[in-house]
Amino acid sequence: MISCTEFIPAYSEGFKYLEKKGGRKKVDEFWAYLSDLYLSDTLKKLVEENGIKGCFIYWEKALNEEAADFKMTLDEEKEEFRIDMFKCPSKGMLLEMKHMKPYKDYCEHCPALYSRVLEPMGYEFNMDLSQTDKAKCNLTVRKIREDESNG
Amino acid sequence: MKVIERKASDNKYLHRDFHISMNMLMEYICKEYGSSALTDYLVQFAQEFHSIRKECLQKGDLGCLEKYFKEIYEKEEWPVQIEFKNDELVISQEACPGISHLRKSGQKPVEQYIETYSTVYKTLCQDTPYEYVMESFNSDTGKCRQRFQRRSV
Repeated sequence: MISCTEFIPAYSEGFKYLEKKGGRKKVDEFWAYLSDLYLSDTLKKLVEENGIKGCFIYWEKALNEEAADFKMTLDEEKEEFRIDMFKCPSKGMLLEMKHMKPYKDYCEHCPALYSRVLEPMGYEFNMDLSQTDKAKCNLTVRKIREDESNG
Repeated sequence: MKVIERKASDNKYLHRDFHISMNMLMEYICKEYGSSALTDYLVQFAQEFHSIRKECLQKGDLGCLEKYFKEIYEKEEWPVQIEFKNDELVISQEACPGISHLRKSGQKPVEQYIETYSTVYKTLCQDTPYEYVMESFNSDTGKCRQRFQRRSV
């Protein structure tokens, strides 16, 4: 059995395995596959139905279930959403497991999965991954206004 | 403006949807490289993840596995029967938490789902005095009975 509480190390090893088989390209392809398959029924649907608030609904459930240490801010007027992750439970777990080495670009799966869903829906997606060695990061999603998108 | 702030200690770590992502990872490996690649991947995972438990088994300490299984089923909030006596560990469950969550979520478990048990625990027992036996497994529910026992000389 691979318990859902053991998924993160299994996920990290999965990335290593795919890279060994087909290089980084294969890892990126898997992230695209997972994004299309998993997030289309969850995050994508919520944002289609609720606008930027859909991000809040999606991550509120996920981050609470993952027991993350975070602050989440939603500004519906400005159509902006932000997560300040003070301790990512996934990266935190990988850093604490001294007998295993995490996949070198583990945290890159987040922008790969989420930008693929949000950007085609007219949102700007940014992540700061500069402090992932401390299991910290932040993420912002912002609706691109029509006057911006028209150049 | 809506703001929420949480500490890790505010919640229990139990995100069952990870079973869905795990199944998708296995499905992808099978689709791209075939079912033998899935076995290779699970061997790699078990070698890395269970290396500390393998060391215990190599020292003849099967009790560490009993402790591990008790903890993992407790974290998963899943009913299980664990019997440990005479250097033998028997684990019986009425359903698999992963398969149950997948079915509840309308997902189809990969055909080789059993390998998340068999391959993982056979790899764990490799080069130790113990062997792993899957006595029964129902692929629809994941109901199963597993045994860790001393290898016969």
